[in-house]
Amino acid sequence: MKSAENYNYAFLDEGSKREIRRCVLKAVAIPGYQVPFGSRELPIGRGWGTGGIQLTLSLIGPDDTLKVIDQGSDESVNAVNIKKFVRLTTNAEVTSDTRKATLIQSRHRIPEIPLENNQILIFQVPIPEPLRIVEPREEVTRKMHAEKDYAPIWLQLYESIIRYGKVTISTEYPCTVENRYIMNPSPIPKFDNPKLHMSKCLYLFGAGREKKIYAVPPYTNVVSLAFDDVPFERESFKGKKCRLCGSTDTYLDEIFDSETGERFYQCSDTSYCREVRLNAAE
Amino acid sequence: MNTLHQFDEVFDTQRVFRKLLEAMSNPGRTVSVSDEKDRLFGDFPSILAVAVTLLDNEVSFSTCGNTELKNDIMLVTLSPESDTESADYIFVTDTDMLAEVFEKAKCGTLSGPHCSATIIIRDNGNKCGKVRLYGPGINGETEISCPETFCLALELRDAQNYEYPQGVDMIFVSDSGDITAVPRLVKRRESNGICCGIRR
Repeated sequence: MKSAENYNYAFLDEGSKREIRRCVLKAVAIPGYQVPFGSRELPIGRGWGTGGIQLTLSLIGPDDTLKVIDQGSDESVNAVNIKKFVRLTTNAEVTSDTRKATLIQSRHRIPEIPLENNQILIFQVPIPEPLRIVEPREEVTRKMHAEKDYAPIWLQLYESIIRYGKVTISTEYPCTVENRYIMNPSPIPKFDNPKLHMSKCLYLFGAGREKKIYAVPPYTNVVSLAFDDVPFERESFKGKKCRLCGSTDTYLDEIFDSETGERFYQCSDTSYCREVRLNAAE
Repeated sequence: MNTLHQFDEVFDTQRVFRKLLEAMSNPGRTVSVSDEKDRLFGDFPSILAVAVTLLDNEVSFSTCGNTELKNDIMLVTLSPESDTESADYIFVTDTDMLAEVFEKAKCGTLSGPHCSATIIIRDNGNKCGKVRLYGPGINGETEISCPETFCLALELRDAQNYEYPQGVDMIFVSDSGDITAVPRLVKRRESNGICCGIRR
């Protein structure tokens, strides 16, 4: 790939964009419901964020500023290559500043800075079906969603509590959207689950391999599954802080030094961490 | 070369789609496609802008007997016309047709709620009262000035008593290019039983 002139604007043909756009509007109208779509071939293997990329390419325009993060990082290989690809075919502005971005494509994190109503967060989703772990057949899970038959997933949580005394799901923690659909919030850590609830921004979820799009509009009730006597709990980083910026209220990555045996912690959201350090330096 | 319109099928459709997305995710908010619709033709350029953005040969539409609009949409989208019962997108330019449209429009199934119709309704832009809306996309509730078509459509939709997630989604388009959307989950707050003079 050398010149953007060889490609349609935003790579996808207009028919593909139109179909994805129709599905996005349906997904927004039915929060948490997985709308099937004809996932297109991309010059990236399925499973490397093709759902999120197709959403980004269908939404992006000349007025947009794009930010891409991978596990919170703006500089990881996946994020950098997606940015290069989108920029090549759109010439859109890219940024690592969360506040400047109008579109944010994310793999498995929600930025620490609260998002605004004019921003859209697009998730790359590997397995959109929250019931897949309890039911492998697609036709059955569709029927379970239709009948709001979520007993097996509640049973899974119950069994986890019986065995380990707590719910041991750390990512992809299922949540109920508008008291109707149980949704897989993509593999974000459960630390980020509360950010989905009554958020100001629009969340879009794209699963390219599984050919599903779903959404959480702004100001929508998103409640993580929990029992009355075993409430939902986020990861706790009590007593730990970021080794770089000193933050104690962010999601921290653990880094293990195999030579010294030391464990370090630092912010998963690199852009936020940099901003805190810059503000401190000023 | 003389062209029928100057509407850019790449960039104008992208802009109109983003406006539609903003309207759909923030029900009650009015967005404008006035610049884009000026590049189209016919008596209903605002509606045509929505049609060009969303329709192609993979989905069907109905204009409820409006032949001129039907011909314009078919010309620019190649979308097949269908009867109201099976249409994916229903364009209503005559308020008198609304009752029939809501009775016939497909509302999807419990396992496939996305197979429902989206109803695009022309409003004349004249505000006649206020209505309070609540639901996903709205922070608490919002009060908006609305044309009578808006209240009538909500009234007719509610009369269908759809079992969620079944339902229809509505997009109101004015001749001046203003767009407001009401997805199926958004409801109207009762206000002394009267909304725009319509007593329930």
